[in-house]
Amino acid sequence: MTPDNGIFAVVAYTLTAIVYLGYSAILSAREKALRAKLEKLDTNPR
Amino acid sequence: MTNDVTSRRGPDVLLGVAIAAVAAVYVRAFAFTPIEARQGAAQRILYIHASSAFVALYLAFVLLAIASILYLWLKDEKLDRVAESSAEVGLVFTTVVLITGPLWGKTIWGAWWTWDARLTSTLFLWFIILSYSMLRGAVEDRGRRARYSAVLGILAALLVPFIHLSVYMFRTLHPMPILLKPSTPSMPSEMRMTFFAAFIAFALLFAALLRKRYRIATLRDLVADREQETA
Repeated sequence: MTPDNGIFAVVAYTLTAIVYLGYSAILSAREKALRAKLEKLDTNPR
Repeated sequence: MTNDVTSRRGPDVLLGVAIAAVAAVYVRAFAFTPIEARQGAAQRILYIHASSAFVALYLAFVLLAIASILYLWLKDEKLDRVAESSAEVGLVFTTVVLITGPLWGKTIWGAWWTWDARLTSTLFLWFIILSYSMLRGAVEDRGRRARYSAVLGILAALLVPFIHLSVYMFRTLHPMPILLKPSTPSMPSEMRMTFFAAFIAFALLFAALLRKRYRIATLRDLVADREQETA
């Protein structure tokens, strides 16, 4: 008999999506912050 | 300074394509791939677990080793940035392996975790790559940081063949490879297609995240240079 364990697959796929999309969002935020910092340094050097 | 890294960019097409490819794999795995009779629906975890492991071990950490070796030889900062980016993205893929593995293991072994050679060595590699990232954060001097991390990166990648062969060298609960082996893959063609599609989708995702992470490393170095100039 095939076991009824589909919930484990759903949880695994959901967590995987959260990790990859979360990491991608973190990278975007880091890139945005660095671009802003670089722009600030270019327009307003100390 | 005119540099394509510093110029504003539109949407990241490669990342968009990679995310769409992964989404398509999700649909194929759940809607168009038969369920394995003995393991049940949890067997679907294979498609994300094994392909993430392939990408981490055979793309990310092999690239880390190659870039580190070349850095020690050529002393080109770009190679150090490739190594740094590959290590971090590889760490994320290994995290997915370590999350999805226990979920699958619980359904087929009845245990979330077992201290067998394959699982333990993968966890050990995860900690080494984590320490690689911490080392990078701890050393201020750019040249020294690159040198030390290159050595640690090469040592970490030496674990990859051990992890691959661990299921042959020791008695483990972890199954033997069903695809990456000398004989014919032991998997029905529909499942094999889903697996290959997953591998391509996750490899694309790796390429997109690596490119993004490399851009960040370049921008960070540019900011550091600019700050030094204006200090």
